[in-house]
Amino acid sequence: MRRGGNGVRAIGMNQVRKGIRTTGMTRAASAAHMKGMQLLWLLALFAFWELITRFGAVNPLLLPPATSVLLRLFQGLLDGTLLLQWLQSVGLVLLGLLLGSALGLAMACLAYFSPASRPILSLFASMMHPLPGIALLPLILAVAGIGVKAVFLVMLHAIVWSSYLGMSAGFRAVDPHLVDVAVNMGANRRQLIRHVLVPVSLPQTGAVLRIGWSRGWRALISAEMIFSAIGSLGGIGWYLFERRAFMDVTGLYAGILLVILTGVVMENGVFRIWFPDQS
Amino acid sequence: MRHHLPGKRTFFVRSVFPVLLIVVILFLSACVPDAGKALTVSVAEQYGLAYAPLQIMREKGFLEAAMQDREKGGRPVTVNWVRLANTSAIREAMLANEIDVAFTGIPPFLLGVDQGMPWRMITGLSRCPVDLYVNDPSLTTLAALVGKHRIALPQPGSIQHVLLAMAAERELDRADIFDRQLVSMKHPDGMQALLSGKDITAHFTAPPYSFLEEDTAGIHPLLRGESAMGEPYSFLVGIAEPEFYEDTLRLDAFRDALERAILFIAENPGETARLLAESYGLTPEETETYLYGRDIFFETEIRGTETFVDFMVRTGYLQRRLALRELVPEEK
Repeated sequence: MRRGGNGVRAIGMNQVRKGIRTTGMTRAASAAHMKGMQLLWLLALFAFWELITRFGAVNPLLLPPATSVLLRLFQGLLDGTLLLQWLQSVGLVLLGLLLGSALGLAMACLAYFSPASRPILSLFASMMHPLPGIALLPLILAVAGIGVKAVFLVMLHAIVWSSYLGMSAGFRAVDPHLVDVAVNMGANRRQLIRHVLVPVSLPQTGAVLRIGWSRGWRALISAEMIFSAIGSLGGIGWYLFERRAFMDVTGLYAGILLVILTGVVMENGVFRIWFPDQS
Repeated sequence: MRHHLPGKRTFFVRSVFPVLLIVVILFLSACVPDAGKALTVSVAEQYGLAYAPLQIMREKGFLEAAMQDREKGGRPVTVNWVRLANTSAIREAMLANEIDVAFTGIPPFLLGVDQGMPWRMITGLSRCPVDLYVNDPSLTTLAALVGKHRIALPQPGSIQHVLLAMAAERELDRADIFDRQLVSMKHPDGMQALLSGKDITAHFTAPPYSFLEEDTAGIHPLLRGESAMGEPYSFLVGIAEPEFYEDTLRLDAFRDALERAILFIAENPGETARLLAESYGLTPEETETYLYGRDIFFETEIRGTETFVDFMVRTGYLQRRLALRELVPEEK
């Protein structure tokens, strides 16, 4: 739940009463309440979607009814191909996240300990961070050729710079006294990284991973939509591209729904469980 | 941490109100007013040698003239040209009422009908060589292409894809044998990739790219579109939505203007080449050779529909056998 967002704006008896009641709620209960409300809104959205398509407010050729899209999604997953394509994409993004964060961590350590490397690293990060990987396509194609490798590079590019910037900021925010204490106790650089810098900046790392995930997932899907299926399944992005090419709108929305659901599960499941402080 | 459950009023202001606002905006934006009383046609603007009559029609104002001739009520006539990339974009633009007429290959048109699009073919436009080129001299049969080689073509479901599948079915007994080897690339990118010889072995393309590849040393055609199909077929056909094809005035005006443009091309090679050269990035001389010397034909007859339907039903690209009356407008 966002702090500040629900801050006291106008104080009336009603608000005070509610305030008392809610402060009495446990953290778990409030989280459950949040989940419940989210689920309610999700159902309302689906109902709204179904209604506007069933009653002709929206042309079903543009947006098919929610139930047929859901049905198609289940069929696609049971039938296997979509499931495999989804697994390929999720596998790639997790691998990219792992590698991207590792590279980001390495660069952040380098920048932390070697002042000489800082200008070049920060120059590179500020040049590359805002650049969409797709814009680098000609270069990436020359290096990696057409295929999964190129897709992976586009995604890695999306993850690595934000991860470096985030981790660097996390390291800089570590209380220098803690570092001094560790150094005085004879900690070498590796111990300093392992026992001070990384653990202290862990809350920041959660945010870094979360940003890396969303940037990487987006980049991966756009790259897959451009590169297509070669000697492999092509991933969920290719599924979207193919469905659109075959003018199969129901399939297209089933794919979009799967992309969204993956995001929701990662956000509400994985990250909220691993890094609860970040919510 | 302090939590406030929003009160009834704040709940409305914060949650329900924005949603209602979005709904209202969506409904309002759906009610786009009609373009006054003007008589309008919006045509998808596409480039390429095979689209030449369209560009002539535009440059010479034939469509405006044809509509003016038929319009007795004195309504002003407007023609809009909208740039679109491919048949998926055409489909979406038609559903959004942005365009009335567009040109595409028969297979993507059929896929659209199969998926419930109410569009129909109002005219043919052109026939031209659509061929598969390879950059490896040792490749001489389709069978040799199976396996590792990568084949570039515009997109799945395109006429190139369907022609390749037809040849694969005939020669190798499996229409989808190449489906895992396809790379979706625009014509110029596909040609670049084929010429660079790195990732792409084969490119299924159309003029002028097929001509450029044909003329490049070390690159040879492995499959001709017409032999894959087994008969002549329209490369491009004109498609329109019901509002347009049921409106005799606009439909006839469009057909007239197109005939006039085709006639103009036949009678004025020099001027045609001069008008078109710039948009193709070719010289007028090259344009003239390509347009008149290399098997591009402009005609309003639609050819090959049944063969495409038969094949696409048999191989599952279409869910059902489409009847001809679903594909062309009733002649009045």
